[in-house]
This record gives sequence, structure tokens and C-alpha cells, in this order.
Amino acid sequence: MKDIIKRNRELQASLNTHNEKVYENMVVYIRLNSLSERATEETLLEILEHLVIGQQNGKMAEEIFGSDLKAYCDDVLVNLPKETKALQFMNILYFNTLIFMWMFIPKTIGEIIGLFYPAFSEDRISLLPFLISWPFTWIVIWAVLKAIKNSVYGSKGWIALGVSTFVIGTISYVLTDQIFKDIWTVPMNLLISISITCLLFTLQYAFKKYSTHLETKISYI
Amino acid sequence: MDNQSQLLKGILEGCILLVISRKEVYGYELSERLHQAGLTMVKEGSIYPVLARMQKLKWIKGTMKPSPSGPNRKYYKLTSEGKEALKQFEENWDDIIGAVSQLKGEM
Repeated sequence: MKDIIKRNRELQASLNTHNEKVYENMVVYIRLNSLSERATEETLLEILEHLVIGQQNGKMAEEIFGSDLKAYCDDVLVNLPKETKALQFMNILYFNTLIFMWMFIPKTIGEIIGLFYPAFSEDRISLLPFLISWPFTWIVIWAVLKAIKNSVYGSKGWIALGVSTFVIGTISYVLTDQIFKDIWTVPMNLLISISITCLLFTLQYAFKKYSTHLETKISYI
Repeated sequence: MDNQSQLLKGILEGCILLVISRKEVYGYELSERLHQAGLTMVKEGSIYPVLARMQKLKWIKGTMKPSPSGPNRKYYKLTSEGKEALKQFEENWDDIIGAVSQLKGEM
């Protein structure tokens, strides 16, 4: 899988400015999906190889893929296979652990700084901000990805939506952290905090490893 | 592939099956073969969505292999389901040709 992406990068360097721009747009638009990553990368590489040879024969990307590049990409997308259920499940576990890990890291940093400046250290923390921010993080990720994808072929309005969701998401995390400070609290200190972070780190690493393992084993099923 | 695109797509699928049934090929080689045969009404790039679909249907199977010119390329070969699909296409095709030429003859 890494080989495919590496080869893709090498080949892309041989494109001229126009074809490179067209191909980059296709990559962004086609890669941002929830379909089989392996099948996606294999098809992108084939398209790139074709474009490179076509360019050597003096062709422009539009002569190969048609002038409606969005329609072409949509055609590729509807025909790519989905991830297997096992892989989808593993990816969901991975991203959720990752989200909790990143929400917890600031707490741990706070505890470490707290060793020197006790004001930063917290004896109890509320669980509520985590639970509120969790679905919010998914919404932000969804909106930002949607914004990037849709901005490729036109509709710039999505960028504004993506950016504002991101800003609202960040503000809401900071606010809920303050507002719900004293509700649903659990004891906290440096040891607990570091343990949880390490546990989450190990879990997300294991999930990612297993997900990659599933990905290399299964291509078109 | 703008006009009559459904019809062309079906024909393109059949032609791809034909080419792959003769010899294992990679994407660019396949498109060259189709163009040489005179299938110039479809854009070269339109084979890739079709190849993806045919892999999903398990008609063909792609394997990354070193090509004569060096880099690894994805070579396609027909599966037993693909052979069945090709048989079906050839039968349909003969029927269509027969029907169209008969009707043309009547005009």
C-alpha cells in the first residue's frame, strides 16, 4: 500500500503544470471517500500512469478523461468497492480512540505543568466535556472533509461552512470544559492522566496496526 | 461518453472482457488495444471506472506485477465469472447484430 502511494508521488513529479493541477484535484476528490482505500489507491495510480504516458504523447488530461472531470470522478467513485465490515469497524474504533487521546493530551500536559505551577493541576475533572465534544469532533471532521472535497470542483461556500464548524467545535470544547467543570467529576492526578493517555495511545496504535493488516490482506471483496 | 452512454458502456465492458480473455493486460495497454481496434468514440480514461466495476463484480482480477518496462503495473485476468459474462455478452451481441442487420435489410 505504501509502495503504491510512494510510486504515485514519484510519477506525479513528471506531470506538467496543467496536468498536475487536474490530477491533484482528482486525487483530493476521489481520495476523500469511505471506500476501500486499497482499491482507491490502485485506481488512482492507474489513472496517473495513463496520464503520464498520455502527456508523453502530447495529450492533455481533458483529452483522456473528458472535459467534465467531476462527472468522471463521480463515475470512478460509484464503481469503487466499499471497505469490508471488519475493516470499517476497526477504523471506527481507531478514530474514536484517537479522538479521546487527543482530547486527553491537554489534560496530561496540564498535570505535567502542574508539577511546577500547581495552578494548572486539577484534582478532579468532569467527564461531560469529553462526551459532548466527542460527537462534535465527528461533525467537525465530516464538515471539513466535505468542504475540502466540494471546493475542488466549484462550490466554495463549503469552505466557509467547514471553517466555521471547526471554530464552533473548538470554542465549544473550551466552553463546555469551563461550564461543566463540577458535574460528573472523577479524581485526577498526573499518574492517572498519564496512564489513560498511554492506554489510549496503545489502543489506537493497535487498532491502526490491525486495520492496516486487514487492508493489505483484502483488496476487491 | 456523453450520448448513448449506457449502450456504449455495455459495449465497452464486452470489449474489455474480450481483450483480457486473450491476454493479461494493464490499463494503458488495454486502452491502446481498444483504440487500435477502432473503439475511438469512448475517451481513453473511461476504462478505469469500468475496470473498477468489473473487479467489484469479480469478473476480472488485478495483480500488481513488474512490467517489461520496469515499474509494477496492475495486470488483469478473467475469472470464471468473467468468462461466463463474456459468453453472455457474445451471445447478446450476436442476437443484436442479427436483429439490427435484419431490420436494416428490410428498409
